[in-house]
Formats: sequence, C-alpha cells, structure tokens
Amino acid sequence: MTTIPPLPRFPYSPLVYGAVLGIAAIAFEFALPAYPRFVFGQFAILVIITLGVNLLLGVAGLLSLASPAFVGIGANLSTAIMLRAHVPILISIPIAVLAGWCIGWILGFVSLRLAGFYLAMVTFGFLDVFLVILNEGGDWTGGGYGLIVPMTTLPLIGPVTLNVVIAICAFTAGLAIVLVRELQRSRIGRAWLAIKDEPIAAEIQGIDVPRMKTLAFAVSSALATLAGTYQALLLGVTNPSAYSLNVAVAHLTYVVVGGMTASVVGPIVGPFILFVIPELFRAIGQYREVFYGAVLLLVLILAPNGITGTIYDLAKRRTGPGQ
Amino acid sequence: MLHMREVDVSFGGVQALRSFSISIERGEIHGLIGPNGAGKTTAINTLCGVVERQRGEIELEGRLIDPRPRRLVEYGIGRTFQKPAIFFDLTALENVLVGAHAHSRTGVVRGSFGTNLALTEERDLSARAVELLRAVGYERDPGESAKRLAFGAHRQIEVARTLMSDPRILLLDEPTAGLTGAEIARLAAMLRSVRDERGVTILLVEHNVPFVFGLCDRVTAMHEGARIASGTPVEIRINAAVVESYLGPNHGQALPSGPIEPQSSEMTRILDVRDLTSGYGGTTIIRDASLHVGTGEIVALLGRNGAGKTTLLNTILGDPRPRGGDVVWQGRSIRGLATDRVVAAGIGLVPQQYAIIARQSVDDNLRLATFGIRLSRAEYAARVDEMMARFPRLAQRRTSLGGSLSGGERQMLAIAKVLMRRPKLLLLDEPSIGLAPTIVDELASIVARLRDEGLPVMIAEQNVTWVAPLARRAYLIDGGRIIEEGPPSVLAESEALAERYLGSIEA
Repeated sequence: MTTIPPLPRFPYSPLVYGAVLGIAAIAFEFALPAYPRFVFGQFAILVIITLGVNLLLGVAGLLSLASPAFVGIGANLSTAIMLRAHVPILISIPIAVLAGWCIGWILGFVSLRLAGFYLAMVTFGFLDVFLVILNEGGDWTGGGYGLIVPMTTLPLIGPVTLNVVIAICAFTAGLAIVLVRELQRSRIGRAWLAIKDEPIAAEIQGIDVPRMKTLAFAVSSALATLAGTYQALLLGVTNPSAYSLNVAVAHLTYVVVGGMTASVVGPIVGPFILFVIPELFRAIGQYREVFYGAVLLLVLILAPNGITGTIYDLAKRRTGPGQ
Repeated sequence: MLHMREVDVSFGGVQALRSFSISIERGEIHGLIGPNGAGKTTAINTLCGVVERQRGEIELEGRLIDPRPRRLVEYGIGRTFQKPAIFFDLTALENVLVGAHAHSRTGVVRGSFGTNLALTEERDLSARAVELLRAVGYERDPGESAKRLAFGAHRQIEVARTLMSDPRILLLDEPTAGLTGAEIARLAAMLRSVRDERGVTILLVEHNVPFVFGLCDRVTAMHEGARIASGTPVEIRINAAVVESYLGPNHGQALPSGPIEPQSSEMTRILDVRDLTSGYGGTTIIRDASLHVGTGEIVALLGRNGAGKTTLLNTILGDPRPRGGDVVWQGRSIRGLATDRVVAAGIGLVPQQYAIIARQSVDDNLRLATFGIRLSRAEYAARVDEMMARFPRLAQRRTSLGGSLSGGERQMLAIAKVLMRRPKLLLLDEPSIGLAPTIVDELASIVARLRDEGLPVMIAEQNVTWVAPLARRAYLIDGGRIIEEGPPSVLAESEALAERYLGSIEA
C-alpha cells in the first residue's frame, strides 16, 4: 500500500517564520545607506499592496482597479483620526485597516455579479468616487493638498522616526509574505483557486462562491489599507494625486510581471524589478518609462506566465517530463 | 430515494425535458441512456439546480426539494461532469481536498496563522484524500499539478473529489467517455465498491451500452426529453422503443462498412511522416514516429489516453512544430510550415473538441469555414448543398445556433466545416467520443462514403470497435512511439494491443 506523502508544511507556526523573515528584513534595512534604505521602505509597502492585488487577481481571478483607493483610505483615515481625534497610532492604524476590510467587503458584495471588464469598470468607478471625496473632504482630507502626518511616539520604541517607520514596513512585509502564503495554501486559498478555474464545479462542491469572492476583496483591501497607513508615515504627508488610475495599473503590472500565480514570490519580484531597479539606478533616470515599457514587453513576450511562473516551469522541466 | 416527477425544462424554445420522471431507489446503480440530445445531461443539471425547471417536482428522501448548486452537499448529492471539471491551478491532492470544503472549518484567521486546529484538520483531510485517490485507482504522485496529468487521471480525481464530500447519491455524467477498456473495467469495479462499501446510490448517464447493462441494476431510457422505458437491463435491451430510438437495428452485429478494395501495391503515399519528434515546452511527447497514409484508404491511429495521438495529429498540422524528422505531403516536405499553410495545402483536421462556433448558426459556421479561400457564389452554394446532402441532420437545423445542437450534430458540423474546404486528406481526432451508438454508426457510413469517393482519412481513436471494420491499416501508438502496424483486426487481437492498450487489469 502506498504511504501517505508528508504534507508540504513547516514544523513551526507560520508566525515564527514570518517573524524571522521580518527581523531579517529589519537587519537588512540597517545595513543599507540612507537613500536605498528609503527605497527599501517603499518597496516593503509595495510588496504588501501587491500581495493583496495578486491574491485578488492571481488567486481569486478578480480584476480590480480599486487598489489605490484603499491605499488612500489607509493613508488618509489613519492620519485624519490621529490629527482630528488625537488618537495614538497604535489605535488609528487598526481602525483604518478594519475600515478598509469593511469597505472592501462592501465593494466585493455589490460587484458580485460582475467579472472581467465590467468588474474593472465598477472598481474604477469606486476609485473615481474616492478621489472626488478626497478632494472635497475639507479639513478631514486636506482637500487637494493632503494632510501632514504628525510626529508620534510608540510605547517602548519612542519617537517614530523614518528608520522606525521603515523597520515597521519591513517587518510587516516579511510577516505578510508568510501569512498570505499560508492563507493561499489553506482551505480558503484552495476555494479561491477552484472558483477561478471552474466556478460551477466549485459551487457544487459546496463552496459559497459569493462569500468567497467578497472575502477575497476584504482581505486584499485590508492589505492595501495597511500599506496605505504605512505610506503616510513614510512620506510624512498624504498626497491626493498618488491614488490615480496610473497607480492601479502599476499594481496590476507588478502582478503580471511577477506572475499571476498562487505564489508569493511574484509579488516580491514584480515591485523589485519595476520599482526598486529604476529607483536605484538613477542612470536610468529620464528613460524610466522606457525601461518600464521594455521590461513589460519583454516579460509578456518571453515569459507570458510572469517571471515566477516561467522559473517554475523551467524547474519542472529539469526534474523531468510529467507524462 | 430520489424522484423527479413530470419535470418540464425548456430553454430558447427547445423543450429539453417533457414531463420527465425518474425514480432512483436507495443503494442501486441506475443508468440513464438515450440518443444525443435526448436530455440526459439536462436531467442531471436539473437535479443539481444548474438548470431551472418550469414544472414538476423533485423529491429527496420523502422531502420536496428545490435544488441549488451550493446546497447539493447539504443534500448529500455529488456530481461529476461530462468533461471533467478539474481545478488546474491545484495539485491532484488539493483538488480532492476542495471536496471537503463544506465539511471543514478553517477560515481566514486560522488559515493565515496556521493554527494547530487548522493543521490537524488539514492533516486528517489529506490522509483521507490520499486514501480516496488510491481507492479510485489514481497511481501517480498526489502532489502532481493537475494540469500535468492525463485525461484518465482527471476523471479519477473528479470522482475522488466528489466522494470526499461524503455524498449519499452520486450523479455521473458519462464517466467512461475517453477512457480505455482497462480504465473502464477498473471504474466499474470502483463504482460497485463505492455502492457496496459506502452505501452510495449512483445515477449515471452513459453511452457505453455494455458498461451500463453490465453494471446497472436498473436503466431508464429517454428520447427527445421524455422517458420511454425503465426497467432492468434485460428488459431495456429488448424494449422495442429503445432499440428503435437508440441502439439501432444493427446493434450487436458488425458495423456497416464499405467494401474494402484490395489496394494495389502501387498505392501512392499522399502523406509520409518520417521519424517525427515533437512536444510542448520541455516535454517530448512524440518520439521518432513514422507512418503514412495512401490515396483512398482509411488508416486508424489507436492508442490509450495520453499516448500521443492528438499531439501527433497536431504536429502534422504544424503546431507544435516538429523537432526532428520530416512530414512529406504529396512529395514535398511541409515540415516547419505554419498551420494555415498546411491547411491551405489540403490537410483538414477535425479536432477532438467539437470545433464549432456556439453563437453562430450552422450556415454561418459553414461560411466561416471557407474564410480565406475565394469561391464563386455558385461554387459556395454547391459546396453547402453537398454538405446538406452528406449530413441530412444538419439540413434540418441550418438556422439553429451551433450551441443548441446535440453532440452528434456538432460533430457532423465540425466535419462539414473541414470538408467545405475540399481537403485532400481528412484527419479525425476521436470523433466518436460522447456519441450514441446510432450516431457512431452514421459516422462510420459517412466516413466510408468519403473514402469511397477517394478522400483518404486518418482516424485517431481508442474506441477500436467502430474503426476496426473501416480501416485497412492501423498504427498502435504508445508513449509517443508507433509500436505496431498492421490490419486493425489483427492489431486488435495482438499481444501488444492487449498489453499496451488495454493495460493489465491487476494494475
């Protein structure tokens, strides 16, 4: 009789691995000179956002353009309640993330019957409405000028300096990578992939398709919102023009270049190639857009499954044919 | 246990079920047979709530129910699909685990943090899933990605996945379609043990008549949306209405075939495939395959699932491109030509999946088939008339949308589309899959007539029974290699066929 194969799981809780990866990321931060360190913080934020966008598009198969809106909600809401309600950062961020989760849930719920292009249009509409509210929000949003993030302190750590913010971003990104990976391989992740591949068969297996779709929106939105709260801290201001459609397209591009799969490597590779490399090699400077376009074209032509998808295929090829 | 009473279903003006009734008793294996388009799949879809019924009731264990797909697991109903519905982004094991979705609890928090509870649940379910995979005869690595597995494995995974949700009733839509003899024998044994050991009641829709009559306790036959008979296999086999509408008067006798002319040795090779090697990505599928087709003959290409039949035909058409060897067409090498050029040179392929446009009418489908060739109005009309004469079934449905045709009609349309271009060689990829016996007989006589008119035909099949009397020669392919050549009747009996093609039952 065949033996049951060992489960592809680690012996310890994912929290342990997440914490180890997070601490390693912090250690890496302090090894960097000032400017690359700042880029590293931005990269960590993009990884968190891209994990969420990939979860929605690559795993659940839902195309949304609303990701910048949630980044904006996170940045503005946490800053606004810090400024106006004088709430400490340790409370303002969870409130913002909870709000992002709920708004994501609602957006997912109202667009349940839509897919593909139509879903993209509705989420684009949502982004548009958000931008209008942002510009007309008066004192709460700072109108077209944005808000200035107040200096805050954290218990035990002290003043939240730039280095502390980057450390928080790095640690969270490390943790998020491991937890999202775990989630995507769990019962919930399997259900998302099943819905993407064969919706009717998934439903017949007892998967509550509407619930799973709204759940994917909620998780993805919460990740983007969390990243948004960090972004405000990192930049020191909220910038109303940083949540445009262009940004949504950039997020989707990270996912496509990284590879639209259930892997968490793609959401690291995508922002690294398209954001970190142009930032670090300033020589690219004015040719940045050209570099961006060229990378996108090259990936789509040479590696249509994205970079991780193609590496995975190559690895499989080396281990021998399937049949 | 499960009853449908006087159910009416119609869509788009077509009445798919007419006052249809069926009773399935606890613990039986019940077969549902009927010609293509009789409404068998619609009956299953209605039971699953995928299709809305206009009238009639469905009773499950004494309770009237209004089935919805999402609630089937609650009812204890599991189903499989005609074309296995496999989640390609998951591994075989994960596919089966999806079957336990409704009976497991891990949510976002437990799933992300991998709590003990989640891990214990996962471990228990995985152990059961592996056990079920072995029980249905799956022999490969459970961690293998589903998209890298062959058709037969997909069927096994789908059945295991359905069993994972602990159904009391199993609905199977053509479970033997596309399986080899050995796989079918294993499936029958497996279904019996599922019934005997797990007490599962089974309803299956099937075209494989010996399989149904051998396995089922009772059989219901339907025709044009209505039930025409119910009873034991013995009663159904001799029922006049069933014989007339489904089995055909010649059932059980040799299939009709055109006269097989003794071919002269001068017969010219119109297609000559020499040491062909090809594959997809990093995988080599076809290895050093050599075969030829002569003018005016029917050649069979026999082999089990995943043997390389489809890839070989596709390589002849130029996609994937050959990596080694040569394809000589009418004396000239066509190796490396793009598919459209190969088609233009006169080779016509009817692919395995009915290659028709569902949202266009029969007429429009035929028109589309002549895309890129210049035909005078008169010539075009003549060719359409010829198709209507060849396929009388299509003549009655010229304005119907492709998607509304029955399986048999779709296959006829797919062949007609290729014939519209007047090819000089016709390649058919498993044309009999999913077709009722009467339709397969019809197909056989159509192919025989094409051959008699001088069109050479190569048929890739695993259903030997209908091609054996037609074909003059046959090739046996396995593991991408041509392993034997000879008259189909000899090949069918040869050791190689028994071993390679039917497999060993103990396996």
